[in-house]
Amino acid sequence: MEAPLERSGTWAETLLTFIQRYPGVHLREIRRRLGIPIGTLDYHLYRLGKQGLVSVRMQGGYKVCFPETLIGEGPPIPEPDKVLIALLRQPVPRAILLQLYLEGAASPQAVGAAVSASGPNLSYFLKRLEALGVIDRQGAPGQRLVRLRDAKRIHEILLRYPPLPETAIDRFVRFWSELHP
Amino acid sequence: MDFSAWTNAAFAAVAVFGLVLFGLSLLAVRRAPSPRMGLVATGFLVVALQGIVIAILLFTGGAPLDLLLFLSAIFEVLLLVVLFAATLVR
Repeated sequence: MEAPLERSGTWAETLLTFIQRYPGVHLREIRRRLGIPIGTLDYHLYRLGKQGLVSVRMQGGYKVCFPETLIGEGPPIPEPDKVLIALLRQPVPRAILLQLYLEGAASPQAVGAAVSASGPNLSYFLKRLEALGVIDRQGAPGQRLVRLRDAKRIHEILLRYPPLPETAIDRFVRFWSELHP
Repeated sequence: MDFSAWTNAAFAAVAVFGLVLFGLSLLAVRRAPSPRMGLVATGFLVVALQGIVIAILLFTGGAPLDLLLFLSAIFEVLLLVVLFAATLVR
């Protein structure tokens, strides 16, 4: 059904490569994607952290992991970007930023309709993105517009940190969720 | 031409694929719990049950064709009602 990713080499190597490829990924997602037992995951994260290869932090109720070095020659991820990257591992905020980047400023209702997010969900993520200084909400209530503060930064982040590939379950959920009259 | 063996195999396949998709939909419910996903899972359960029940009746033999068709139609109606509800629910 949801086959774990192919593991080559040791768990430590697989784990480090996965975190380098998908910075900001949360612990549950690592377990699900790699099929790694929780005890083994904790052990290797502790070891990798102790050696200064990865860091683990709490964000939004999740434990998220970052590499201290990216694959290739990339510089370490700047601290302000880490919070945003971890948030962008979730589909709704990622879709909001992409929508605002492609279509420009829009009302919260238009953004919500474009990304198929319910009112409370959209409101939660707009608040989070505003608190991170990524978006602005301007105008009087009722005529409020949402816009990106720094479109160039968002462009770079969206390109540099791609989402995790869809699994069969993700495709199944998306297919049936999109069905409505 | 004798279709009985093919009919048995076809309903066995309905049971197997129905169960596989039911398993997949249970994982989907766990990932994204919602009434719609629950109804989709129920739909696949109905398909699997249809395959199992009809396949058992076919393999054991003795069930009249009318009964098999009636049962099959009941399962189909149930499936369509469940999928209709899944399409309407938000």
